[in-house]
Amino acid sequence: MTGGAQIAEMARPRIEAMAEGLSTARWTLTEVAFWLVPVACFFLLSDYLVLGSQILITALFALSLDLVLGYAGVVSLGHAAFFGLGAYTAGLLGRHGWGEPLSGLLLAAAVAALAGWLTSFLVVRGRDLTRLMVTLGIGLLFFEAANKAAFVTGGVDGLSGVTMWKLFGVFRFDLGGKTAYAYSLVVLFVAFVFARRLVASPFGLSLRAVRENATRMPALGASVRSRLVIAYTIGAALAGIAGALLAQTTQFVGLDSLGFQRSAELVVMLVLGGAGRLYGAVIGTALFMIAQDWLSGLNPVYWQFWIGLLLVVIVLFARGGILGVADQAMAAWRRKAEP
Amino acid sequence: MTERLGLERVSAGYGESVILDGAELALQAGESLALLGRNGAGKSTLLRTVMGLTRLHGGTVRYDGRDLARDPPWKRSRAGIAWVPQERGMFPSLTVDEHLTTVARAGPCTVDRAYDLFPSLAMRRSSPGNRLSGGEQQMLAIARALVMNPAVLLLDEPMEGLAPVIVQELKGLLATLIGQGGMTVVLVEQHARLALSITARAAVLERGRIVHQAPSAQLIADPSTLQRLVAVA
Repeated sequence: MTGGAQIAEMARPRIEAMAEGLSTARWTLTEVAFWLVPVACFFLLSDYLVLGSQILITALFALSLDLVLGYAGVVSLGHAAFFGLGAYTAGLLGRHGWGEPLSGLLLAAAVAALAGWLTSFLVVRGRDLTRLMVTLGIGLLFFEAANKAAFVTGGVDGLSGVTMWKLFGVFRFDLGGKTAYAYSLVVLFVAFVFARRLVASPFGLSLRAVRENATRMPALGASVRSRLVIAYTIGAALAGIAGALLAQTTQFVGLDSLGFQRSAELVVMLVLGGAGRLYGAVIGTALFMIAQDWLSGLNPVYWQFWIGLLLVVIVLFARGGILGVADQAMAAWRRKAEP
Repeated sequence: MTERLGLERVSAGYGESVILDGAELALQAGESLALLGRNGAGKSTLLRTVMGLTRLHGGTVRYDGRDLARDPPWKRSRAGIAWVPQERGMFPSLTVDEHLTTVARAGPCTVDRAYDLFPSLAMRRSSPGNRLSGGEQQMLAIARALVMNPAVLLLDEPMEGLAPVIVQELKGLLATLIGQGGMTVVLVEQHARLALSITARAAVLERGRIVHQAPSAQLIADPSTLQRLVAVA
């Protein structure tokens, strides 16, 4: 048997094992309760559905970064590149006569995944600081490219005139944001289920193993590079879907969708919630954006002061973010309960 | 019989240093070898060189007749070489179960079969790697190699630092694995007698070179030679 065929043969059972791993992880009651909260918000807080949709979309974006940063351990300051790419893909489709939402999402995911895959080879080289700079650079490249290509993207004025068809031919995107909210929630949930299965699969476990003992993994038959490339590509695809959701639900794409601030804030949200645990992405995003909304209402000029303070406090005194603190509190409480 | 693993005038080390210096070795499929030698003779380096974790200065490492020089460690592992390092290499947050399912490959040794072999691991299925005792870590390191269903198993001092009762348990288990004859096993061990008692052949390394090869039974029956070759003076 040739080496190549032998390696291919060795790879086959791994794929089967991966598929098997996908169906194993069980949902806990806490998780079910968690997902009932945004459903309840739909009925109880109907005045806030626009903000709600923004939170759900950004949560999906943060989830995509969690796969890259929290699980694959690749620090990125340019993740908005894929968000913006997805947004422009869906926006341009809508502007040029194809307003069907779901196919728009899929195409946006494909475009972002392709860009993620191509750039991943640059990103997985080197260590943290190199990656930080490379992702930052790639983010800036995409931003300026979209800025320059104003005849396609609308440049600094943004891309307007995006027309969306009814979702499933039934639900119109209304001004109150009911359709946008429900649509975003369902897409976020589906992406979350996917991410949850992915991280519990042998592939996801091997990502964790790479993070914990990178020198040991290759001797166990795992190419570290190929794993990071796959994780980065999947992260890009999910970010593209988030961007497409924003374009479709607001029917507008601004240049800031590719901006550095979007990338940087996203890292803040993820760290705030707790990286490497999926739910941290959703919780961090929700808290950040609700705080942002509230604080900017109190004081539209200086609200970032409090966000900055919160970040410093979390990083210095609450390792693992909000969920990390919650874990520690639970552990302490259990120790107290059983003397 | 066909050659499974072959080293031809292999010189290797770390960076500029040369630790293996012209090592020659050939192993048939299903054969078991005790690799003996004093501290610093190059035993661990030989295993690491087969795995592709050292710098090869010269010579060839062959696996199933193929030169491995260009294969990175993960390809060698995929091709069927498994290595249990001395430092065990646990993943702190992965549970025992996760350690095994992450690397398991189709073959006779399933994860369940591994639990049959190591009942004490079965009881600790959901314990994370950093909560295991030294003996449990060593068993997990071996179990993790077995569920990859390798053709070649490289064991680097698996008995080191373990309680006598666990050493006996592991010894019995390794003897069983070797007795089944499917795998080629290379056992690096400080306790020469223990290694000789469960293997078919022995090779002695000295200053990076194989200086003596003999059937294990013959070497164990010749204490003076054994003393001369491996005793810590």
